Amino acid sequence: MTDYEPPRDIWEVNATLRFDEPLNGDQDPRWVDTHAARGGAILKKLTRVLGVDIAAGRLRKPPRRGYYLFCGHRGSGKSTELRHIGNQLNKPNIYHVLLADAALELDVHNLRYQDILLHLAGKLAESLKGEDVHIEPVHLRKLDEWFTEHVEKSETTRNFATEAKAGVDANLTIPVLAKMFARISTALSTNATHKEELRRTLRNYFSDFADAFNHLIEVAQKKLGKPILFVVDGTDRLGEDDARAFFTTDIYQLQQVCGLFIYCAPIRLAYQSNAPGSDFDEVFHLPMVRVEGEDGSPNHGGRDAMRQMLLRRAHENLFEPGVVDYLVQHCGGHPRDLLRLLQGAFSHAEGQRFDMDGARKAVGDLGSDFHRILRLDDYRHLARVDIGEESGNADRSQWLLYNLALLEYNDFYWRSHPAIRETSAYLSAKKSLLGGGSGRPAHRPSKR
Amino acid sequence: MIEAGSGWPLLSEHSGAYLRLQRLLSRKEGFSLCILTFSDSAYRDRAATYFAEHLRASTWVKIDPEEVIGTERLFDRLNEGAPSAPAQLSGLEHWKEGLDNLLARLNHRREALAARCQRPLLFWVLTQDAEAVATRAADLWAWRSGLFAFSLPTGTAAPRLAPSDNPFVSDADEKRRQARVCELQDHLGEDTPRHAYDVSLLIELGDLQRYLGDWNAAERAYQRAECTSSNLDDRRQSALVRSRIAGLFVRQGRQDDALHILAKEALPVFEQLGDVRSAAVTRGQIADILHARGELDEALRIRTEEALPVFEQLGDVRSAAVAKGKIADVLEARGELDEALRIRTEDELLVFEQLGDVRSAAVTRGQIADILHARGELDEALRIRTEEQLPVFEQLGDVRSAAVAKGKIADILHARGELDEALRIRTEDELPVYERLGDVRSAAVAKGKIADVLHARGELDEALRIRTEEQLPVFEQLGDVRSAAVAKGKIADVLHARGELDEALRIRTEEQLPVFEQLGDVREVAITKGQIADILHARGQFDEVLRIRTEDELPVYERLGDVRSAAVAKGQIADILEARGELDEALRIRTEEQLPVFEQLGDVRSAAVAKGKIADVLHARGELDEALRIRTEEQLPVYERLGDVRSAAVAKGQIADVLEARGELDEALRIRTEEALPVFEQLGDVREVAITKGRIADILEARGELDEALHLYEQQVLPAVEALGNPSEIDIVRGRIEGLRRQQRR
Repeated sequence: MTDYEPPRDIWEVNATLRFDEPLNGDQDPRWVDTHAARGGAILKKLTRVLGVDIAAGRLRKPPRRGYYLFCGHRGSGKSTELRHIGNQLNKPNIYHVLLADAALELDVHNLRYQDILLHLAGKLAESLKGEDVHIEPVHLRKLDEWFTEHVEKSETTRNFATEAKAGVDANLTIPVLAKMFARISTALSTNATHKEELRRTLRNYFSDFADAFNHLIEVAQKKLGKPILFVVDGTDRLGEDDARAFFTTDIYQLQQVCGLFIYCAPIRLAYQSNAPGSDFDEVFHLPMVRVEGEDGSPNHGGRDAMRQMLLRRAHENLFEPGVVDYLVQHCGGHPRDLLRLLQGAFSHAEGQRFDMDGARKAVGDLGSDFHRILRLDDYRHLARVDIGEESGNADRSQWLLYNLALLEYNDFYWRSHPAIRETSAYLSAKKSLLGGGSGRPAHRPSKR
Repeated sequence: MIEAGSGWPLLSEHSGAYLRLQRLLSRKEGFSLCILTFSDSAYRDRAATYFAEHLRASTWVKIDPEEVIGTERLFDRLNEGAPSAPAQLSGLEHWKEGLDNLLARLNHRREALAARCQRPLLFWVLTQDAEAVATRAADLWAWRSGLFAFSLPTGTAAPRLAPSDNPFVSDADEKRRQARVCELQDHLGEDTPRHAYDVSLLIELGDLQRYLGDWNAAERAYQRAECTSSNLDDRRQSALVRSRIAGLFVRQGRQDDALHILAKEALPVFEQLGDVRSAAVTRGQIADILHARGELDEALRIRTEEALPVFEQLGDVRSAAVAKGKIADVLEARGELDEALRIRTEDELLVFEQLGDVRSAAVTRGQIADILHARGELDEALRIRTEEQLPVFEQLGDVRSAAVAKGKIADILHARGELDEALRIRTEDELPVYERLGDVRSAAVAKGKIADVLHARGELDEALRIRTEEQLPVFEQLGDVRSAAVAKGKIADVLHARGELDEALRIRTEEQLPVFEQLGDVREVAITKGQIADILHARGQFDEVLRIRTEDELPVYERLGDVRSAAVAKGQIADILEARGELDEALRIRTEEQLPVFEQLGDVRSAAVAKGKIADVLHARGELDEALRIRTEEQLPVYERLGDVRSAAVAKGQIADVLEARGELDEALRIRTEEALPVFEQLGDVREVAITKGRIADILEARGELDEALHLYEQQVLPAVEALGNPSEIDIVRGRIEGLRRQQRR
């Protein structure tokens, strides 16, 4: 990682700038540790809940079971941070971490708890196969029996079962199980007919499945010599109805499987009055990086982190003086928006470096993007939040938070996106609220 | 407005979005989502077609309203075609199950989309649907690399003040132009306007202010237009305005700045847009600067290889004709008058006539007259000006062009020695028009021409006053350093003529030469050095003069391919050799190196002058018969045929010189008194009158008529020479008087 050099050519920066790939935590040289910059609480809190003594590098007293939600703004770095957490905990003396990305591996357009659990079972089998862990057939029998009894013998799923078992060794082993469940996962993500039939089967005989899966988890943990932690990314992408079903209605089924699970959750669930937080053991919020304090003053720790993030995408020499700070200041501590501003600054740049004019235009573009979705009174609302006259709990605030016009920071205050604060609509709204004064906020209400 | 045939098929205001998109797609790896908004499907299709060709986005998936396909099939189609080249997706609004359904699918399947479509995706969305994408496919929206608007302008209120048609063709006088300037300034205010139509008004304001000589204000107006265009993301318009600023810089002598703008700022924009027409025009402007700097070969290369073929390919016969005219300009500057004339008559004039463009045809006829003028065919040049060009401008009501044409007629009359009529035209027909139009620069140029006439008439003081008080300050105020340097050179000419050689030399070396050197104008530098050599020649510093001519002047013309100027310089080298007594070498140069060039160029006038110089040498060598034959048979008839009465009178004086040398004093006296002197008197040429009277006095002296000779010198020649103010000439005349008095005493 120390050999890594960010691109020194502005065109290479553009070529490699992508929004669709999360970084694999500290395994990626472009990753920057933002925990302190975000407020420092989340990793510490999460590891403590999981019984991990990070300083000592060992597991103290892990919970036997636990169901956690991991929330954050879109583009705040959830996927990257989940992978980082996974990397941190996936150590010989700590956890065996299994990461599943529902957005990549399943169909989040139509996802139920059955899909996830069947997929996780397959993931576990695949992982054990990869680790070359031998599990005696007797411990696999329950899952195999569930499959045989309820999938193979059912008239509606018989054909699928035949396909799933085609070419599979008759001897029951982990590789056999892995292959079988891999086919189930494929069916769940691509075959609408089989998906519904498998879901129905699982729903009707869920207890049997949960029992069999629990047994496999228990045996696997013993063989591995450490607990298994399931980390599920992508479930934050569920539609409103699917999310409600997954995180609220079907929570009982999810919790029938005994283990440690971290699910990525849509941020809007966290803001709803009947939020599912109470049904889960803990909800972890990943806040934006604080680039400024509550009073608007620069937060140097946050800015340094964002600055590092930028300078790992483009060499420092590629920026004209002041541009890095300008971009950092105007991204609001939102990692993806920082990259978006970098992309915009590239598009507007006239030459071979990121110039201030291009940076300003990039910020202007982002403000225009918001203009497409904001109503005129939204600017007033945002200004009211900024000067402490409006709460982030208001309904419209929730919508603004969801659409990133309003950003949440770790010590529970909100600020409108800096790109919005540059727009004339916002400035005139704020001016009218302050009666023409300059208006630093006198105070901000706490979120809770 | 879309400019047909420019190669750029979209609205100018979409140029910024296109260039950003083009830049973003350059070397882009893997999936990236570019959201393109549109409001008109036909315009979108035009843009998409252009992108298919110019951005390699030939994979273009159009959602068919009649076809039901799933996202899997959609992704497959997006993956077809050249790998990694951008793909376009349009017709989202036609998705059978509704836009919301498609957006929801794409939102949930964005990872699959990215995994399957490993290339930039140009995602066409109706402008009004962009909000739906942002809010209902928020996860997909979050992955956007950029949003590029290609919507047609709608609902814009009509401008309160409409741009005027070209205000320069009309006969609008200065008052009306000033009124329009005030109107535009009131409308535009001081702030940077925000509307596209205000850019047109700012350009109009800048053009008017430039015309009226307020170049600083013009630059400010252009800068504001550029700023507004830039704010509107209209990079093409911005580049066009920058080109106008470059034009101003050229006038101000900031050639390097102008070249930088044209070559580094404007041209790349047009090239990236595929706007081949604007690119060719810009290359032409670059060639103009190179031409003005004397880099004729490169100017010619650009015009023939980079500009003309574009217009020909576009089928733009008019622009092609204009480009050919510019090529003729370069050839003309190189002295290749025959080829320049051929282009003007066959390639340029013919096209304008076929197009029915009577104004351009008239302008071209004027340029043909210029060539004839340069070749010494003054009568034909005058006929074209008076019969074919001027009536057209008068009929069109184009008072400015008519004034310019009259100025050109005055040039011819001046060349023919008809100084009084030339002066009348300048003062009565030309200058008042420029003053009325508020065209201060043209007025200053015209005043300079008046000073030229006065100079030629020997009225050096008044010529000097006009140059220093009325012309030079205008150029300095305009910041037109080039014209100011030329004016200073003219002042040096006057001082030279007055015998103030030191001051003339100082101006040339300290004030004129450095400006041309700074402008990078190698041709003007060579010319100025030649003028410095002229002064040194007058001082008798022949070695230094010869060095300048051979090392500083001649090689430049040869490098520039300017055969005519090179031939002139060779003639000047021959002058030195002649002055040093190296008559044979001087004669060889004149006959073998100079005269054939003029004859080949068809420059009959210069050929006649060269023959006169040959006759000078023969005269000096004592070959009086041959000298006389050349004067009477080869030189004089040419001037007479050309209608150049002044040169004819000078030639007659030289014939008289030969006769005088042969002892035929009576005939010599007759020629001087009856044929030469009346012409110079009629032309108001005080200097030549004085010289001729001096020569008459010399003949009288030779005939022994000392009293008459002395009387003539004392009463007529000396006062005239004293009035002309050249100390060395005054000394010579006084010396002659003293000599005559001594003879009388004996």
